[in-house]
Amino acid sequence: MIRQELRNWFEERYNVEDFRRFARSKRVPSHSYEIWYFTGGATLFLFIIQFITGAVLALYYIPHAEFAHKSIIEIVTKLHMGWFFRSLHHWGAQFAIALVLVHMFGTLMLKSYRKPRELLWLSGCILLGISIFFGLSGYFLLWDERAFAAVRVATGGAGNFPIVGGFIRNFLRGGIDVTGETLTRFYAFHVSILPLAVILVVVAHLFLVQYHGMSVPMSQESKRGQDTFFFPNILYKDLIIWLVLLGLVVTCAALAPPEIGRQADPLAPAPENIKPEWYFLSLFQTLKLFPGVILGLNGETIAIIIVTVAVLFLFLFPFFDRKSLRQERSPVFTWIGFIYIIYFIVMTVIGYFS
Amino acid sequence: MIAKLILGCFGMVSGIASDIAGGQALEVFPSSPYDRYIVYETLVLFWIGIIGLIAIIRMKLKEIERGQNMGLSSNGWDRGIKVGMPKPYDIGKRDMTSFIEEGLSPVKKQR
Repeated sequence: MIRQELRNWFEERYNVEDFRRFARSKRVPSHSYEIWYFTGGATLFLFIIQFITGAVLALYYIPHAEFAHKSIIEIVTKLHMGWFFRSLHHWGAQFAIALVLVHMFGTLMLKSYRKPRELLWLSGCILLGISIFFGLSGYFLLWDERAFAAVRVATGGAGNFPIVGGFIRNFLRGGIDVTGETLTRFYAFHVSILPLAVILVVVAHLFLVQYHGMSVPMSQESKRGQDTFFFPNILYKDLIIWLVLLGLVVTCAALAPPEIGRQADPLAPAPENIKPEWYFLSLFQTLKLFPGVILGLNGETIAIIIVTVAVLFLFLFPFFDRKSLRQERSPVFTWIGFIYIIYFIVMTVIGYFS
Repeated sequence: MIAKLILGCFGMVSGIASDIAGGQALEVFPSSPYDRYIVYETLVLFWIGIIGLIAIIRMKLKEIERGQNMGLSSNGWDRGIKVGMPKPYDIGKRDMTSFIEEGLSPVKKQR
């Protein structure tokens, strides 16, 4: 009875029927590679988990150099299920970044970026960048010696950019070195600036997906079957994938909670064998390949320039792939995409085991 | 004397060990066997719940797909029939009187 009244109340004020009609009319192409469509929804689901667990942790975390580490120890040891929420947030971040990469590489290999979906690709790349910065800023909030050293290395690396490097480094650090100011700054990024940016870009990304519809790979244009209803068929399949993902994240969070290192000491030397988070390992390993000095120039600066050019090339991939623009096959760009993926995986594995 | 030495050595070793352990990363996973058992047990129950939910969703999905293959939308008989699909039996859209008016029995039509 109350339900019917509520329904009537809504229907008198809003045109719910239009929304229903839209939901009923939405279709998704059906073909051999349709599994890739689910990676985007799965990533969104993980972002939602991150928002919820992050909000819970923010209730107890103290963003101050003196209390940050202690507050995390209190969350983990004194709060009921505190260790689990922190672990869930940590593992959710790992899975989210991994899925953003899988979604991106899938889009790259299926050439879903081709005309007219260039802006979708660009917004996805921006989301990847934001996700990685989310990871770095969140890692630093631990305020332990490893996080401290990792941020010192990362912001120092950014400082090697020609011309703007010094500005970026000082802006990120909030001074000339990593201090409590950096913690305050990273906290602001992590809980306010980046979430806002993610919401805006995700909304734009979803709007573009709605506007253009799902992309069909060129090889599947002639083989595609009858389109599937989004509501409820695809939504139910999405739910199954989300449930499996939730199970995996919860299992990892319960069985392998991340440890907490010693409190950061800005005056102490960096610990030995320090490694960044796994998504930075390929970059870290690439920088290690370059000697300190190349033709009298700073080797690290040259490495940073080369990496930046490679990332920019990936960012602007749809505009370089002229054949895809004309809806033609472009095997050269398929191979380039493949090389990017293999390079990332190989360097990450080498970085992990070295 | 020997007992004191052993005790002293034990004290030193345990002190150094606890110092090293204190310097190491903080162990987060519950350490007592009972707490660990609770975590494992909860995890098993959680997975049973997830598998159960997946089974229910799959059954529902199959039911919807069966309906769609018969030419019906997921929302029931009154939501229209797919264009171009053969209509195997029109009882859902027409009431009995329309068959009687045409002099047909719904059973005969089915044959």
